[in-house]
Amino acid sequence: MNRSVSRLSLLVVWLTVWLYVTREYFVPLNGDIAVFSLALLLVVGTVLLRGLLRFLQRVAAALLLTNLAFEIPSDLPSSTRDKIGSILWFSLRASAAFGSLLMYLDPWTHLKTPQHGADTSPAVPYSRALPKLAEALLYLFLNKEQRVSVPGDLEEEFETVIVPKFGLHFARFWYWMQVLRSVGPLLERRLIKAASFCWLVEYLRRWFRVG
Amino acid sequence: MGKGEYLGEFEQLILLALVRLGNNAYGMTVRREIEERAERNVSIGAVYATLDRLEEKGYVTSHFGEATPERGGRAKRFFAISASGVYALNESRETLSRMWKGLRLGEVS
Repeated sequence: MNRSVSRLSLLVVWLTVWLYVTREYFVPLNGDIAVFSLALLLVVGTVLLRGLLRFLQRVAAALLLTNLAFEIPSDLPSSTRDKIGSILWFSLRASAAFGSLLMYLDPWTHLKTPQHGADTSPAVPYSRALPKLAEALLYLFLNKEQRVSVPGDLEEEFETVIVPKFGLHFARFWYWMQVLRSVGPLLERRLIKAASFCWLVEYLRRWFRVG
Repeated sequence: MGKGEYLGEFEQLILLALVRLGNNAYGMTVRREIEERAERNVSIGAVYATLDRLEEKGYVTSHFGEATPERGGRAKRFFAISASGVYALNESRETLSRMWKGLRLGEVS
């Protein structure tokens, strides 16, 4: 159920974003049919070629967010018709931005496919009591490999140790504390890795320039 | 051991936990082992960030194991100390021993 919902949400968000993005560039050239065809093609393409288009999806999302950041509609037109049009247009853009932000952060990754021979048997009751917001927050700071193991470790300890020992309320508090205290070290690690990469790029750039 | 390869205190704790846990060393057990033996409250993020760093240095290896229902169907990532990790751990202990040798804290002015 969760997977179907997430897949459907992704398709809807995809369609919205691509309608917005393509409208700007293709409407003057080819009209609505071309826009719709392209959007449909991209949506179908996403389902068929997930890996490649996922990358494009992130690029598009980033571009859209950048665009919105620099263009906030401060002067709505005076006539009622135009006003309604502007509000609708703004809400479309806002929803596209929100959707693309969600896609960029990709909080549904863990729902899409079971990884590394994951067990598909029904979850035990306590897992429903996990603070989902904390779990989503944790996902933002994990790399691909950690997204399998870290939440699993937390959930296992939550289920088998903390809930039986201290009860559900404390266990939820414990989970939140674990996530909040994990953010610092995980973020630091990612920043160090990113800095190392930047340093390497700069080094190569200088090396080639000198060469 | 070259400069920059010395183990920090937390790195030593993690490696010692891996040695103690043997084949059952994964994130949760490592965290609990440190919490119970070293009486130090650590977060899972700190454990994984350090394990990631140690793996990058070649002191630790990892592989994915089986998934269980109590983990929400997610796989365990098992860690093991490598030969160079054992060497680095021994070196760290000997370095500390050399520093402590013949020293009594009461004599320090």
